[in-house]
Amino acid sequence: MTRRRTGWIVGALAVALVLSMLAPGAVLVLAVPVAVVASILTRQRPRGHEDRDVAQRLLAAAAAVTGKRPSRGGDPVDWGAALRAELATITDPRERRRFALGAAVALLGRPHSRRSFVVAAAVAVAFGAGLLGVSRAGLGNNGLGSVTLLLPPIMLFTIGYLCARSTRSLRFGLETGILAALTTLVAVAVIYGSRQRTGTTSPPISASSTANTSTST
Amino acid sequence: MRRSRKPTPQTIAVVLALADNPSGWSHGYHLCRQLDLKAGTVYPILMRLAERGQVETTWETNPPSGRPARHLYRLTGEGARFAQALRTAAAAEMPRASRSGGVIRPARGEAV
Repeated sequence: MTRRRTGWIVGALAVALVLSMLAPGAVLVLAVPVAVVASILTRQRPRGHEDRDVAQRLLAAAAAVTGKRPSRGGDPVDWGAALRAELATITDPRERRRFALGAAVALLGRPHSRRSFVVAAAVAVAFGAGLLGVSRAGLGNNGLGSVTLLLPPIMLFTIGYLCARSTRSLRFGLETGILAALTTLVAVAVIYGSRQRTGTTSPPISASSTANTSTST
Repeated sequence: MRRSRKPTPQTIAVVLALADNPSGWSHGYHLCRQLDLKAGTVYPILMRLAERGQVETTWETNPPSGRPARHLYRLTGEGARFAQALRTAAAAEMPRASRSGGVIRPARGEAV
């Protein structure tokens, strides 16, 4: 792992932790950015392409967020590479831009396979259930605290990063991270509801903040 | 169970254009120009046909120096049968369409 990439990871974790301590709603705020950062870190950075034009950049960006797609009876097709190769044969700048735009739409518009969605949904559900279980078991009836504050950002980052890295697909990392975040919100909402029913009204934040807001309804 | 949707006119045009060249391979950009369709239309169709096994793909073996190998497409046996079914359906539709004033859009360069 390069020093630059390590720096990004450490920075993202630090931001996630700080934000999560500042606001109980940080889980939602963090969901998308954390998944984005984690996934961008996994992008392959081509070297020697500093002179690329707009069309090449557009197509490279679209290709970076999509993985290979299956083809029946053969190896998965790298459509990003196929479209970049086709773009290389077009010389007219206007035509290159038109082709790149259409190709980017084609790459981004096609949904991932059903299996990818099932994997993402399963990871999200497992994460949400795990978070809820750990929170309830570790903190009793309070159900909130350090687990709710610290675990979601770290887990969302890890999930988005690992998914994007394993599939080389920013899009898959994003989808999984966002699904995990949504499931986390459900888990947190359940804990909130439980707390409201039992009469405990403090928000899921640090002890000092809890003392200031304990009278809210 | 796979849903069987009626193919769009663009899908029909792409399949028939590939069928017109059964022995050779076609380039995606060439299909775009031949059919006057945008890449955003042609490539999703090619992706879908490849996933269904109706189109096979390969890479150019001897590209000119300085240019990456292009991706090539041609119909499989299943794709050829699909094209034949589309031709038959189009032929059956033609009298009805002409009676009702409707228009069936053929692939460019294709005999009707």
